[in-house]
Amino acid sequence: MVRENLQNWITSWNKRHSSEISDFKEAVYLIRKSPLIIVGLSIILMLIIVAIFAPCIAPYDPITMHLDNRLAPPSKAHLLGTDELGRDILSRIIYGAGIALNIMIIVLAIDLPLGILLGLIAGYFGGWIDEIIMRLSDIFMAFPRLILAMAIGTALGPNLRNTMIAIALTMWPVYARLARGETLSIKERTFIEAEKALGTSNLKILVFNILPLCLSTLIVRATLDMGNIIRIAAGMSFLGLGAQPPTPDWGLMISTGRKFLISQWWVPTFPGFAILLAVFGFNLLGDGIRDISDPHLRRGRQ
Amino acid sequence: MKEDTKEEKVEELIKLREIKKYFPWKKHEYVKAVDGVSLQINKRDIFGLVGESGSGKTTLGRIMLHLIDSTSGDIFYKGEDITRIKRLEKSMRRNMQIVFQDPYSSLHPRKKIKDIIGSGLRTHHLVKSEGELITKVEEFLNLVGMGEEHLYRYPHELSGGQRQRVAIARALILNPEFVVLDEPTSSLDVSVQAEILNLLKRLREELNLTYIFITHDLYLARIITEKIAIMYLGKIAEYGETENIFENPLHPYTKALFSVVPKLDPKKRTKKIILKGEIPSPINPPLGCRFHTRCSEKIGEICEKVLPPLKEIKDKHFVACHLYD
Amino acid sequence: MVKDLLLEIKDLQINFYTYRGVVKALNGVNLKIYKGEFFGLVGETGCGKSVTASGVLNLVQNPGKIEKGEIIFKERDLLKMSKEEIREKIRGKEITMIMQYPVSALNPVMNNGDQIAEGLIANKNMSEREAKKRVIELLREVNIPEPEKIARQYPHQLSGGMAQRVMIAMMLSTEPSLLIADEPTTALDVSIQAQVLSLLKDLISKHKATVLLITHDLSVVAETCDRVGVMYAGDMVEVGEVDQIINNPQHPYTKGLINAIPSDRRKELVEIRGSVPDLVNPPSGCRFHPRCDYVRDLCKNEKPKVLQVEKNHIVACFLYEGGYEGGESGRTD
Repeated sequence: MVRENLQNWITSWNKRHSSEISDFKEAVYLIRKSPLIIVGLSIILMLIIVAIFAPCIAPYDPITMHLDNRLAPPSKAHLLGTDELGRDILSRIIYGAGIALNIMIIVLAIDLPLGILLGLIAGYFGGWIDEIIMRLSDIFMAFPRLILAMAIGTALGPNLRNTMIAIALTMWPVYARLARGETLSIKERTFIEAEKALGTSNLKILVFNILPLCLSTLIVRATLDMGNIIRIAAGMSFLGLGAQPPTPDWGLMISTGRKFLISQWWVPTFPGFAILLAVFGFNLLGDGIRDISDPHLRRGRQ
Repeated sequence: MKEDTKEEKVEELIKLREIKKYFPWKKHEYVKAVDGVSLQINKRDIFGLVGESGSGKTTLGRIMLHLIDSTSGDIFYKGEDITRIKRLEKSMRRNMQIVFQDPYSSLHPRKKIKDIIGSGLRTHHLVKSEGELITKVEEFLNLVGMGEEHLYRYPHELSGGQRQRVAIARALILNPEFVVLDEPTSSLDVSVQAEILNLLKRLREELNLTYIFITHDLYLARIITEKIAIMYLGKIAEYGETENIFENPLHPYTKALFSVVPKLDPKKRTKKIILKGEIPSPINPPLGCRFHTRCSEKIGEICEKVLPPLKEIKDKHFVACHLYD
Repeated sequence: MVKDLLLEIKDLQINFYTYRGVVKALNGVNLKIYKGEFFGLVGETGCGKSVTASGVLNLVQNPGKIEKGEIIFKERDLLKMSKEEIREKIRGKEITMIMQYPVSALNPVMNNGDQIAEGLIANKNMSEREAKKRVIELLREVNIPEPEKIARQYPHQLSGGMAQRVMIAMMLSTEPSLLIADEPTTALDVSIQAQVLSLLKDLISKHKATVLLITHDLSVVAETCDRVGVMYAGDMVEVGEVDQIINNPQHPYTKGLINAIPSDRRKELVEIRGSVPDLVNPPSGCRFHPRCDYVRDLCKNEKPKVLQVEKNHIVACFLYEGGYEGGESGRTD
């Protein structure tokens, strides 16, 4: 009996969601056809797995110092060598993945909702509220991103949490403007007028009708920015504003390892590669998603 | 529609009095979309608004629905003055619905059909649960000739004709008093158009609806409407019962329009009154009679200086033209 | 009067390779257009009329592919010509095209006069001064008031009707043998449509050009064309003189179309049951059979042969093979 019920429920679920299922299938088809996405996705998945399973994968503890084994070159015991405090570089890079991803997630978790909220309101209602939000975003956008992040980071105090806040503050205007632009064009479309004729409230129009349509552009943009966030965070840490020792943050590792570049090249170089790989992976993913998003949207039309 | 032998009480639904709608355009200029229109829609009318671009028919339709407010003039709904009301209360709002021209943009691309049709039900608290919503939506899907297999589909999976049926179901599910149909078949193929029109006719009978049918297609208007207003540059040129107007057009614009509409039947092709020039811009419409710049029956200075009033010439047949002063 | 054949399309098949599958857009289309005539190609969305036009100009692009067929123009097969030859000699010169939205077909950063002059200078070897003079003459021919002023203006300043007239002027400037007009008046108001169509007719007789008019509007065809071809789902189902098609339609689809159009002759619209087929999986045999009131088993299995109804009037339908018993629905005609 239970089995029958379950089967019935599954069939009904399939029927009710058959459209999404075929959309999903088409997305998979498009992804498979795009080498960019496959490579990017692989790199990122690897990063995520490494980050989550760091304690299991990393051969050594990233923090404990072994001053008797400082600056050892890559060997079977230490695949990527050790740093100036004898810590295994491979292990630190592995734990660093989690830190990098963490920064990225938190920055986007602040910026996306904030940007969307402000952008939707500015675009939909226009008038003075639009002016205020736009001028505010102008102020933030007037400064080069890294400089502004540095200024805010310094003002708040050099630590990882403040780095994330600083980066978030420099990036929200982009999302707000994007959301506003999308809103401006979406609100003129006929189905919005139809909702008004039906009596739907402005709030519901914004949340249930306009927001879902903005999301794809914003997510694409966020994906393209992921690489940037890691890069800026690394830069901040490099300058001493972000993660503080002994955190195995990649940027910090380059910073402290800088002086060893010539003789013990492995100390700053491998963290550098890690950043390179991560940024590369996210860029590929972002480009690929953007490529499949556009024709995907148009595919619905006859 | 044959007239009943017993006197039917005519119930006024919408009355427009000297409605004007001017849209601001650059500095100190206005697009005079609607420039002084008065008319009355009664319950059970199938009223046609016919005109070319710039005639103001689309804007007028929106004003009747109170989706745009007018620049001046008054609008009455069942005798109540609703001109100043900014946002209609829900009970009134659901009584005035619209079906748009383009079925490709009037349905939200990311919503399922059941949610598109059911949106109004939720807003007006007409259903208490998802199950009730599905039942009611299914009922109306069937009413417009579609099956429950469409409930969970997205608009892009439907053809143009099917989408338009969904749009009709969405409007009718609220049981409105009148429905504005804004060129509902212009974007559809000819054979699909026939289906949709027959559907609309049937629904009007079954549900006792009032239609305001906006179109540029004269023969379409003849087939479906009972009363018709021919609009030109924001004003009504001629107004009356459809058959009367077609049998005996009085306004030079109406006559010209009838003569240039392409006809299938070669015998019916009378000499064409090809209108000179372009349709003037509604930003600077001609003074006096709006049509005088292209009129082949212009009398003289009076047409250039004086706006002809809409006068009843014959039984319920109104014309705005100095030829009939 | 023996008519000269200008364009002959033989068994043209075009497919589109899309994600959903292969769209069999043109299913072996045959068409003959004679010199000096005004030919109307009529059909609804997806019938293949615009694809046919693209085929003639060899503008079929990925994912479309011309599978087979011949397009004989002035005794040469256009499909066998090199891309360069088509571009240099045919397109825009011998065969030109006007489209539904003229303003978007015109170059937005060149003024109207220069655009027309460009073609004259390149193709007719005129000097700039001669070309400019000819431009004004052409604009006057298409009844544009104040041609000098319009020549200096830009496309976005033109109304739909004026823009279409500028396009016509441009497309006639090279004195083409064939002008293809793809839904030229669909986006125009009725009163402007009448102006543009009457202009086309006048110009055609004056310049002795031939016109292929593509439209979904049978009434427009009835008013302007000499001969008509009716297309459905990639097939040419009936071809004949305008009066023959309008007053003596033979193909069930043609009849259905005439009954479905709001026109001066009916008070009611009659629907054609069913809907336009998916060309990825088109119906077997006659593509119209699922919607036909006269369908028989034969129709489901074989593609109908082209039969002659009367002089100049052909139809692709088994009903006319002489001696049939009436369709499945028991109706006789």
